[in-house]
Amino acid sequence: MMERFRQIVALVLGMGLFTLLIWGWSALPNFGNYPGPNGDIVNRSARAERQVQNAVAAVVFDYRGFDTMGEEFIFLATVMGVSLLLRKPGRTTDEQAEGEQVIRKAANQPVDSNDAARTSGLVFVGLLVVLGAYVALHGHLSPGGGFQGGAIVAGGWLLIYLVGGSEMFHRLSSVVILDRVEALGVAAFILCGLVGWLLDGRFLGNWMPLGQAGRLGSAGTIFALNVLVGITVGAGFILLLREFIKHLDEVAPRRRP
Amino acid sequence: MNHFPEVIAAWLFVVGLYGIVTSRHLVHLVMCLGIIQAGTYLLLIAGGYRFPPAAAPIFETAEQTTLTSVDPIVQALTLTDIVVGAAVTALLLAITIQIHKSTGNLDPQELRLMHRP
Repeated sequence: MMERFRQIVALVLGMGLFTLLIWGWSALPNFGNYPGPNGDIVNRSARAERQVQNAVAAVVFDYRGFDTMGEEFIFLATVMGVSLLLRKPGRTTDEQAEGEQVIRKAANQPVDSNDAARTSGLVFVGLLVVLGAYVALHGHLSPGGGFQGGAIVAGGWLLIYLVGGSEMFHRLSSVVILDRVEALGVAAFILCGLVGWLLDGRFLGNWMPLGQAGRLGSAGTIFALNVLVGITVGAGFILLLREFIKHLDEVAPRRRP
Repeated sequence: MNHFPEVIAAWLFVVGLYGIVTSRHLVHLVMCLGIIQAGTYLLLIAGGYRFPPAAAPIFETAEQTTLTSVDPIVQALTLTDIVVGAAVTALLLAITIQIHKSTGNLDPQELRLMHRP
C-alpha cells in the first residue's frame, strides 16, 4: 500500500520535473547550433600553442589542469574511503594479517572456471595491459589519455582473477607497492605543478620542452601528466578491485570466479 | 526547435530518479544513480555538438584547426563527470556491503536510520 503510494507520488513529481526540465532547456540553443567562442578558441590555438593534437587533452591537462588535480584527489580519497569502509573493524594489524592468511588458504585452490576462459584470459591480460599503456601514452595524440588508459590496465588486471583465482590476484597486486605507486603518482602531479610555478610563473604551467606536434614526446607536461595519471588511476583501480575481491573471499571463501 | 538530446537527457534523469525513489534494493539504487549520471553526460556532450557534422577535436595537421570541430571543453567536463561517477559508485557499493554486513538487509524501504536489529 505504502509502496503503491510512493510510486504514484514519484510518478507525478517525476513527470512534473520532466516538464520543468524540458521547459527550461528549450531556451538553450538548438542542437548542433554551437554558440560559444570558448571551444573554438581552444581548437584554434591548442595545437600551435602546446604542440598537442588532442584538444581535449590540452583542456584536461593544461588549460584546466588544476581541476584535474582536484579530480585526482577525488580518486585518491575514494580509494582510501573504500579501503577504510571494507576493512575489518576493531582488529589489530596482526590479527588482520592472520585473517588474511586464513582467507589465502581458503582461496588457495585451483580455479573452477573452464579452460577456454582461463587460456583466453591469460592472453588478454597482456594485451589489455599493453593497450592501456598505449592509450595513456598517446593521450596527447589521439583520443584517450591517462584516465582511460589506467582503467583499461586495471580491467586487464582483473582477468588475473579469472585466470588464477584470488590467491594469484592478491599475490600479484601487492598493497604495499600499489599504495606507494598511487601516492607517488599524485605527488608527482603536484610536484610537476609546483615546478611549473617556479619556471613558468603559473601553477601547472607547461614548463617542459614542447617538441613537435605529432611526435610521441611532444606537448610538454600534457604528455607527462597523462602518464602520471595513467599510473595513478591504474594502481588505484587495482586497489579498489582488490578490496572488493578480498570481501568476496571473506563472505564465500570457496566461491570460484 | 530541435532539442532531442536534451529531451533524452531529461528522460534519463527522471527515470533514474523514479528508480531511486521506488527502489527495493541498494545495488539497484546505485545503478539508478548511474542512469541519472548518463543523462548529465548526454547533456554536456550535446551542448558542444554542431551542424553541419563537425569533426572530433583531434588535429593531426595544422590545417585542420581552421575547420570546424566540436567543443573540447564539454568533453573534458564529461571526463571529469565520468571519473566522479566511478568514484561515487565505488564508495556507494562499499557502503552497501557494510550495510549488508551489519543489518543483513538491502531493501532501503525497510532500513531505518539508527536502528540496530
